[in-house]
Amino acid sequence: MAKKDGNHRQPKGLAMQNMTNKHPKFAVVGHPNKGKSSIVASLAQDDSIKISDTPGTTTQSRSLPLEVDGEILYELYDTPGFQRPREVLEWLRSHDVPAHKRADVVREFINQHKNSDRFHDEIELLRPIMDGAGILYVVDGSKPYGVEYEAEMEILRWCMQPSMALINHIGKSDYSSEWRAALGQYFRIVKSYNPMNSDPRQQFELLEAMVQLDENWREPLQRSIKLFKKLREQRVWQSKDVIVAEIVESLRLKERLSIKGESASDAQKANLENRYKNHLREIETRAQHQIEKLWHHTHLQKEIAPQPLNDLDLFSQESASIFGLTRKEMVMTGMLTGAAAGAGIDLLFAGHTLLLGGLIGGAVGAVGAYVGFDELSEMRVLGQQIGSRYLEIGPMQNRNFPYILLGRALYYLHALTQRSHAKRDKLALDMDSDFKDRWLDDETAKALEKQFKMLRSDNGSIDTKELDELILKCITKVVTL
Amino acid sequence: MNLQTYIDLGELLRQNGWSREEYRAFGLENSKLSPIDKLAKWVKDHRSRLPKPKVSDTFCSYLYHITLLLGFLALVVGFVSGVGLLSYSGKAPVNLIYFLSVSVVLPLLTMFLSIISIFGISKEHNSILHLSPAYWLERIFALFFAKRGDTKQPKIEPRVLNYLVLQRAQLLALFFSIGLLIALLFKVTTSDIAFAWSTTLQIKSQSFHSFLSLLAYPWHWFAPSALPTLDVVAHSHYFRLGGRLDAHMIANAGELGVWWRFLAMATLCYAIIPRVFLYIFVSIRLKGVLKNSMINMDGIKSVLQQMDTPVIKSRATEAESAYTFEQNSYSRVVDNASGRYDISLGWAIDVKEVCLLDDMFDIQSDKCMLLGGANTTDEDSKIIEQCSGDVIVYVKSWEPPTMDWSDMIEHLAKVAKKITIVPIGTKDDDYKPQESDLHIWLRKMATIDNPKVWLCKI
Repeated sequence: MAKKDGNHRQPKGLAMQNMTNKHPKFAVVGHPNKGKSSIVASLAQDDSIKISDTPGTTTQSRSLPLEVDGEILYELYDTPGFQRPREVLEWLRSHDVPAHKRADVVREFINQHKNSDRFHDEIELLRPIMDGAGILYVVDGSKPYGVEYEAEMEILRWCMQPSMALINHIGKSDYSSEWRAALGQYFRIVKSYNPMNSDPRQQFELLEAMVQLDENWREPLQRSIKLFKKLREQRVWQSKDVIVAEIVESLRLKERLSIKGESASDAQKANLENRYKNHLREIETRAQHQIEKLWHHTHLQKEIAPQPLNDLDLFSQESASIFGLTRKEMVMTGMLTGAAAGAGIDLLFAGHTLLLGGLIGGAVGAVGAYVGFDELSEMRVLGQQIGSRYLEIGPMQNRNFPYILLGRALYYLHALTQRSHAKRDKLALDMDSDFKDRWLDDETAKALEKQFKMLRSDNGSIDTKELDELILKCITKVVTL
Repeated sequence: MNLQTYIDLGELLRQNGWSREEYRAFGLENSKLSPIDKLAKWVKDHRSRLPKPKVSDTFCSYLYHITLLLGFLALVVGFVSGVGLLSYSGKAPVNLIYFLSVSVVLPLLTMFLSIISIFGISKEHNSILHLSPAYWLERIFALFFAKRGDTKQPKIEPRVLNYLVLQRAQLLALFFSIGLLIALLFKVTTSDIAFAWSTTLQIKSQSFHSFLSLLAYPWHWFAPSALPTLDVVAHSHYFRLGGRLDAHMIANAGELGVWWRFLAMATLCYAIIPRVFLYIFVSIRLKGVLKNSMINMDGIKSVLQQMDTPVIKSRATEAESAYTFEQNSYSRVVDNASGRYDISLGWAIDVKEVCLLDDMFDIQSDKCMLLGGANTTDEDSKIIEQCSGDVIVYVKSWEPPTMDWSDMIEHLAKVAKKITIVPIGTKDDDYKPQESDLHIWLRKMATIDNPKVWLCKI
């Protein structure tokens, strides 16, 4: 049986490309604590990278390849910060070589000091550069420029590799202009990039800028941009599957409790209802974790907020009012759905029913929606004739529940997709009552109601094709592709 | 696409033992196949991984054998029924209406019910289908499993099971009709049957002949001899009250032979041939349903997606090693640096600014000097050599202490009596450092832990 961990042999067909110089490599370098790891996390969309406000957190260069079917398109290196740049520069300058030989001196420096602890961090950061990586030099544009950076920039110039400076904005102040003036003397391209607030468009722009560093990198980088877009689409699709599965499972869930005697006591009923609700909560949490995994936000799951929507319980009134439909909306949706079904009958009789079908259908739909607005699910005693009796609850009859569930799932997905992988703070979900308006219009509500009704009533196999399409449509309204 | 593939697919999915890369590798190797063919090939390639005895093998084997057994029984029942219906008591002739009922009406009725049952085929409890004896085949099969103590029953969708029942129902009905036809041929060959028609209803020979002509419509053009003439129909009319056959009928007994040809053709055209077509139709539908069920099986979407979408990884392959900092507290902290110092130093802060800071913080010192920044390490060393006594060092609080800075402190501590580090903020913040930056400095100083070094929080 194949192992599922990352150590298994690469299967045939996904032959790993050798780690050669064919693909572009980029070393993200700079002064300690200027957001190098954040930039790498943001570009690699990996929230597992350790990011800390403590300088020196990164002690080793770490490669993060963008791999597509085993082929590496480009590789990012997260590196430690410069620790003794002046000494390194003095060592380099002590070698009197013409400008075109400077890279050899840097190589010599690495060779001579590779076993020494004194320049451990410098060697870690210079090694990938001398192996052919382009340089992404990171500074903090929210702090003033300082001459102490010049030694670092000069060392990088000695490496003779394509380079680019990135102005990160960790704080609120803006010293970009003085940084630009200084960086412009050392780097051909200077760009602002804030990994904490970057959206996919900004990430693609940065990759586009990296294309300019070397003409040979154009093809793989442009392919990478396309693939990142495709990856995002894939994730949206997969998220849709998760949400559809969550809704189907939740709406069709039944919970049973064995009972003795002819009827169930109130305590047994309460116990069953509690179990039913908990089971529904578990389904939601599981779906959330699946979405986190899909969007590479597993760090969030492990260390920050395991259930960010927990403060707002699935069955709370607040949750219903934010994510669900109001009673009026529910009645309107029920009425429209019922009227549409009734109109079909009118059409069948070429209008000879005097539109009674539509009227009756609308009335039945409206009443059904009104009655089923608060009701959770019917609870009944089964197995009377067999002997072993049990109390059963489900499937879900509450007409508003699927909207609440879907609204919460969409909101969670929206919040996760907006979140930069560089962020390490707790995922804050600002409850926005207008959020519902972004994805739910009358037409969608009507179509959804039809699907939810089918799910509630169907015991056999189901075809979720239409529901898939509807939910994908809702997702694209809240997630930027 | 068959039932075995369907069951194997379900079992393979239950195993869930494939990595994303393996699915994708398979997808790349078979990229030109349609999703259903891809799944079929995937099952074929991987079914050897299923534990033996395979659930599908067991299920299909039992299904085959029970179908065979019941098929044989249906054939025997058909034959026996036919022989019974065609038995000549020696008193009254064989009433061909009995035979017609079983060979034409009953098959047409069951075929009609079969077609009706297709409308509710997705329902778990399809009552029309449950009327069929073929339904009990599945029940018997379930009992078989229970007796064997085999808990691994295949998970099959209701509509697939229903189509299986429907398909087998057609097969049993077909065998029954074939048995009936064989019985007719057997009886005709081995005995002299006197056919007649008899009914309590007031039906004239002309009407009955018209009805028979209508029945014979499918074969009248290629086998006209298999349709009795009006005379034969009239002469074959038997009345119980009369108690005997028409005299003309007895005189022309040879003409009555046309009846067996009519019954044989009726059985063929109304029971056997349509049943074969219905069987083929149900089998085709079953295949379609199997395909549809496979595509909609739990987890299949994900499998196909994993096969068809590129594996895009942007994560580090090796675990990250990071330095962890001990949260030591640093006790040599003051909140006021004012007073007299032997020298004021600025770490990467120019001399003018150092003097300005001295004034700001009410510090008197003999001289202000720059360390770090654009200085070379030699220049720094020379400056440090000039230092002695109490030294104040301004540092940019937002620039975290590097090893370069630590080297400087180490050298300075050798010549100075006391070193006071003053982290300052930016001009915009009126040189007030941020608390988070001060924490970084405190942590760093805790790692140096030199008794001569103090930190001033301004």
